[in-house]
Amino acid sequence: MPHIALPNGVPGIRGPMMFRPETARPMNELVDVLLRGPHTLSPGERELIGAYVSARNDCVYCHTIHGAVAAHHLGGNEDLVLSVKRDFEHAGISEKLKSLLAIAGKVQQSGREVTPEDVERARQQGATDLEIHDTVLIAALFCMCNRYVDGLATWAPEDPDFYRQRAARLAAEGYTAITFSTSASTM
Amino acid sequence: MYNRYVDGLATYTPMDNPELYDEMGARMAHQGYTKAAGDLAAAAGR
Repeated sequence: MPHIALPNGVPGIRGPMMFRPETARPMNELVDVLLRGPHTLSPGERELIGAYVSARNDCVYCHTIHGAVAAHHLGGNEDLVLSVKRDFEHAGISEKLKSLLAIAGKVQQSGREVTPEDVERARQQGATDLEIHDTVLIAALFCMCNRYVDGLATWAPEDPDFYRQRAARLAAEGYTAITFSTSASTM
Repeated sequence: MYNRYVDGLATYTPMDNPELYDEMGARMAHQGYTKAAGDLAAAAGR
């Protein structure tokens, strides 16, 4: 049960976002820029970074929904998403993405854990400064969202199909567009 | 989020110039963050 009076039956981050739309709007705009804007990393790769950081923070709602969005972008490959959350160094992803996930994992602990060697590894794999920048900011942003979601004890549905269906809409329409959309209100 | 963004990129943190923080603090307090950040970017020639 949430720690404060949030709209009934609204899952995850959407509860507090409906409670305080003034703060939800700039957060969603930032998420859309970072995860869906034009980029050399695909939307699926960027969602994987968010899902991985959320899994490390043990935020069930965030790692499940963003894992589902990542899978949606990656041709429905839920096994790949699981393998990234569990042990990305041995997952079937590019060496560049592995090096960026290593940086994201450090950021999840603390920004000060990121070493010059971590950054050098990413550069060796062809990562650009913008990709390194956005990896750090995506990881930091998800740490914020994970704390927001769990700090208020929001509701995380257990049905995996809820996340698959919600992910399909997020992938198609984006975060800003559907947060306050009233159709299928619990979706 | 901001802590991880700032330290994850190992940004420059002036340690020997408390007046700089006074100045930035006054600017942020009086102008707000959006305007103060714009001024900083302009001052840095961006």
